[in-house]
Amino acid sequence: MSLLKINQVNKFFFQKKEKQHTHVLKDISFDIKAGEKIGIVGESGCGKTTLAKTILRLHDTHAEDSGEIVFENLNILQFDDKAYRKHRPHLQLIYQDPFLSLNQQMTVQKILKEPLRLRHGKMTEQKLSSRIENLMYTYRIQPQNMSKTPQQLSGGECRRVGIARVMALEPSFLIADEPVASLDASIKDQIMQLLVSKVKTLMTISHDMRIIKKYVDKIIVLYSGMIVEIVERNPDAQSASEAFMFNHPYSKVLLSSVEYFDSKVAKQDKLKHIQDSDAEIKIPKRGSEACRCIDLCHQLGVRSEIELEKCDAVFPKFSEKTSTKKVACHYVE
Amino acid sequence: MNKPKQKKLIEVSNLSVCFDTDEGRVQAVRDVSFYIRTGEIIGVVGESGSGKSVTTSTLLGWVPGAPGIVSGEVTYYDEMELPHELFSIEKIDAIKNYKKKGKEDPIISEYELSKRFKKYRHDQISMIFQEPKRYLHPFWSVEKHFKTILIPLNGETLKELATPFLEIVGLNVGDIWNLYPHNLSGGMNQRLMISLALSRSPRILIADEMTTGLDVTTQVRLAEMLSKLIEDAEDENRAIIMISHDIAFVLKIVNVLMVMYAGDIVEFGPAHLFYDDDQEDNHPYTNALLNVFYSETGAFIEGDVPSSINPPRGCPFRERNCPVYKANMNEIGHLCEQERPQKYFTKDSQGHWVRCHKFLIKPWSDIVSS
Amino acid sequence: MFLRNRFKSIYFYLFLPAMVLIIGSFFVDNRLETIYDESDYMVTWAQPSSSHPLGTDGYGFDVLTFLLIGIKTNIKLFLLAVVLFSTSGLFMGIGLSYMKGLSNKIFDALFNLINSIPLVLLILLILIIIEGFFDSYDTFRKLFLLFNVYAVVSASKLSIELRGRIEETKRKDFIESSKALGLSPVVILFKHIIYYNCRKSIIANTLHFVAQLLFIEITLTYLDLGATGDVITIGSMFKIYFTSIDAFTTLNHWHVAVPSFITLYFIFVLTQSTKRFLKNE
Repeated sequence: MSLLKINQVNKFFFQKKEKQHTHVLKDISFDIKAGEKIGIVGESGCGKTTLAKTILRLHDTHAEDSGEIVFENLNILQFDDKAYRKHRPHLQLIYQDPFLSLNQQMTVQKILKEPLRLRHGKMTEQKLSSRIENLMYTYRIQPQNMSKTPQQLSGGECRRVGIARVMALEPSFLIADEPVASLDASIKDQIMQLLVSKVKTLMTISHDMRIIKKYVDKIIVLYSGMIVEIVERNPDAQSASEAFMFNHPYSKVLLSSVEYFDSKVAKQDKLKHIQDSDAEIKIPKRGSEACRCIDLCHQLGVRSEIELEKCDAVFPKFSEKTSTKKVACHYVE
Repeated sequence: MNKPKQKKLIEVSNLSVCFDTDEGRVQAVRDVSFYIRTGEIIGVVGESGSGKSVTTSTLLGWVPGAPGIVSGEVTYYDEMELPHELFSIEKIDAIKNYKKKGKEDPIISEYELSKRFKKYRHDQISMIFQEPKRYLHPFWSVEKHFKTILIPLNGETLKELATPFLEIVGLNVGDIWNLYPHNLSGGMNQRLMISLALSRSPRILIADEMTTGLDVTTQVRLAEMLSKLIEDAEDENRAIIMISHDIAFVLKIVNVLMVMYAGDIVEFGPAHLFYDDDQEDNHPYTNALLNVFYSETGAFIEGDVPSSINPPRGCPFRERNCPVYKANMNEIGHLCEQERPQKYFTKDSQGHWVRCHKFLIKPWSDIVSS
Repeated sequence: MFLRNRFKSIYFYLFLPAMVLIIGSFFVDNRLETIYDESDYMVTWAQPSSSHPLGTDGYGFDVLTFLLIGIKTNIKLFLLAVVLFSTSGLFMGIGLSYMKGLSNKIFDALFNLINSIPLVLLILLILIIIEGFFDSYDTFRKLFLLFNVYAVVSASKLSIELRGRIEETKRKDFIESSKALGLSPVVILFKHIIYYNCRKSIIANTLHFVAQLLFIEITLTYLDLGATGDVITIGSMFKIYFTSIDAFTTLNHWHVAVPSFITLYFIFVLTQSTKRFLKNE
C-alpha cells in the first residue's frame, strides 16, 4: 500500500537574471510505502532539495510543471495553496541548515509551542508545558536550553530542535534534507538513529552514501535532475558492502568515494573512476530529450561515441526487468 | 627515493589559551606541547570544542579574545633551523583571576601579536578555512583575489604568475579568471582558497576543516589533490596541518596524527600505527573515534564534550564512559579522578605518546618504554 | 518581571519625571482664564515656592499648572497622529511589499518625492491647504488635522523602510519552513515578519515621529501659525515666555529655562527609549 506515489513529475524554474527556463527535474517517478525508509543520494546541485520542496509544494508553480503526486489517494498537486494548507502537517521537511530554518528571535520554548498549537489547537498552559517537556525529552534537548535562542545552541542541539519542531505535528511522512551534514562524525549516527526510530516513513536526502546505506531500505540515485537508479536492500546480504548492488556508472562513482574512506588500508590506489573535473552539474535547457549523464559517461570512458549518440536523442526509461533494480540507462541491465 | 632529513619547523611548549565569554572563562587550550617537522602531514582530530582550531590559530597569532595566550612558547625554525621565538610567556595564574564584570586586557595585545606574526603570516604559515564561500570576498573576482596577494615583477603578468598555483589545485585559469565566488561550486571555491594560500609558498599550510560541508565526491577529489601536493612537497621542506573531526578522511592523507580532547592532546604519533588491529596502546578516546567510523551498524560516543569553562579535575575523558576507567576502577580510578595523566611513550616509539593512566598497570605497562 | 528589572535600571529613574508629568496632566483643570496679550503685562514673576513649585509667571499663574495644561493639550493633539503614523506606515509597508511591477515603481517614486520635500515647506504646504476649512479661532481643530495629515504623509517614509525589511525577511528560510509547517500566510506575516523582525523599526520610527511633532508644534506656535487664543500648548509657553523682554532681562532666567528644559527632557526620553529598544538587536 503506497503512501506516496510520485508519477512523471517534471519541474521547471525560471531564472529572472538569466531570463532562462531550466528543466530541473525530469520524469521523476517512484513509490514510497508506509513504513519504508528511503534515501535520495546525489551530489550538490543534482536537484535533491528541489525534489523535496516540490513534493511539499514549497516552490512556485511554473506553467510547464507536470506530473502527479498522490498522497493517500489524493493528488496534492491539484490543490491551490489555500486548500493544500490543511494537508501540510502530514508531510513535513527537516531543513538542511537548522539555524536558518528557525526564527532567531524566538526562544526554543516559543519555537516548539507553534507546531503544538497547530496540532492540538487551544490547550491549557499546563498541558502545553507538559507536551513541550515531552518533546524535549524525546528528542534529547537539554531543559536548560528552553529559554535560549537558536544562535546560542550548538549545531547538534539546534538540529534536534528543528527535528522536534517538525515532529510535534506528528506527520505521516517526513523528508530529512541532509540531516547530519556538517555535524561531528561522532554524533552523526546518534541523530540518524533518533530519526529512524521516531519516524515511521522517512525519506533521507544526502550526498553521503555512508549514512544512507546504513539506514535505508531503498536508495534512489539522482543526477542532474533525473533518477538514474533505484536499488532496494538485498535481504540476503552477508555484509554491508553487499547490501546494495549498483549498476549505473554514476552510482558506482558515488559508491567508490565511500569505499575510499571506509577501507582500513592506509593508502589506497588512486581512484580510477573519479576524474578531476568540474563538479558543477549543468542542467540542460528545456525541450532537450537527451540523457543527462552524457558528459559523465563520456568522461568516465564507459561508453563509446556511437553509443552516446543514442543517449543524446532518447531519454532512457527504467528497465522493468526486475522489481528490485531499476536503472535508467540504455546500456545497463 | 632518498628521503630528506626532517628538520624542525615549529615547536610549541606548554601553550595555554583562555578567553572570556558571558558564561565564564573558557580554557580552550590547556598546557599543550608538540612539534612539527618538515615533510609531515599532521592530522588534528577531535570533536567540536576540543581546542583544535584555537591551537592552530595561535600559530598564526590569532586568539579568540582576551586574555588570549596565558602561557607557553612558540618557536619557529627557519630553513637554516635557526629558532625564532614567536612568543614566550611564563605561566601566570590568569586562569584563576576572573572578574565577572570587568574585562581583562590580553597579556599580549592584539597589536603586539600582529606585529610579531606579520612576517610569518602567509609567507611562512598560511591557513585555509571551512566554508570557502564565507572566507572569500564576495565582490572580488579570482583575478582580484590574486592581485591582493601576488605582485608581478620583471614583466610577468599576474595571470602568468598565478597559473602554476591554480594548476596545482586542478583549476583552469582561462575558465575562472574573471568569475566570482558565487559562480563557482563549493569544491572549486575551496580549491581556490588552497591555491591562494599556496601562492606565497608557505612552509606550513593549515587546513581548518576544509572538507566539511562539501560533497563526498568533492572530498575525495580534494584528498587526492592534497596527497599529490604532499608528495611533491617532501622535497621542499613543507608541512601541512589538517584539522578535521572526520578521522576517516584524515587518516587517508596524514602521516602523523594528533588527537585532542577538551583542550588537551591525548595522543600523538605516526598515523600508520593507528591502523594496527592492535589498538591496545591507543587512547580510549581515539579508539572511540575510530569505532564510530568503522562500525557498520552505526556507533556514536555517548554524552557531550565537557564544558571548557570549569573543566573537570583529573582526566576529562573519564566522564564520557571511558572503558578503561570503568574496567580498572580499583587500580587507577583515583588517578583518573584527580590527576591529569602524563605522557607515556609506546615501545615501538617513533614518537608515539598517549596520555592515559592505563600505562601504569599491566598489561599496558609492558607497552611503555621507560 | 518587567517592572522588577525596571527598578534596577537607571532608565526608570530618568523616565520617572516624564511619567509623573504626563499622568499629572490628566488631573489638571483646563482653565487659564486670561487671554495673554503683551500690552496687558504685569510684572509678577515669582520664584518657586512651596505653593508654586515652579514659580509664577507674569500674570501670577502657576507655571506648573501651565506646563501640565500644555502637556495635556499636546497629548490630545498628538495621540491620534502617532497611532495613525504607525498603523498607516505598517499597512502601507505591507501593501508596498505585495505590489509588483509598475505600481510598485510608481508608489516608490511618489513616496520618495514626498519625503524629499523639506520638513518646513511640507508643513507650510499642508497648512495652506487646510487653512481654508477652518475659522481663524478654531486653532485646535486646525492643528489636529495638520498633525494627522502629516502623520499619514510622513508614514510613507516608514512604509518604504518596512517594505525593505519585509522583503528581506520574506526571503529567509525560516519563513519557508513556517509555511511548510502549515501556518497561514496571515500568521506568518504578522507574527514572524512584522512582530519578530519589524517591530523595533516601527517603534523607533514612531518615537522619532513624536519628537518631530513636538518640534513642529513649538515652531509653529512660536511663529504664530500654531496654537493661538485659548489653546495652550508647550509651544505657547515658549511663545509667551520668550517674547516678553523682561524674561530675558530679569534675573529670573528660571522661566526661560522651564519650557526649554522640559522640551529637551522629553526629547531625551524619546531618544533614550529608542536606543533601549534598538539595543537588543
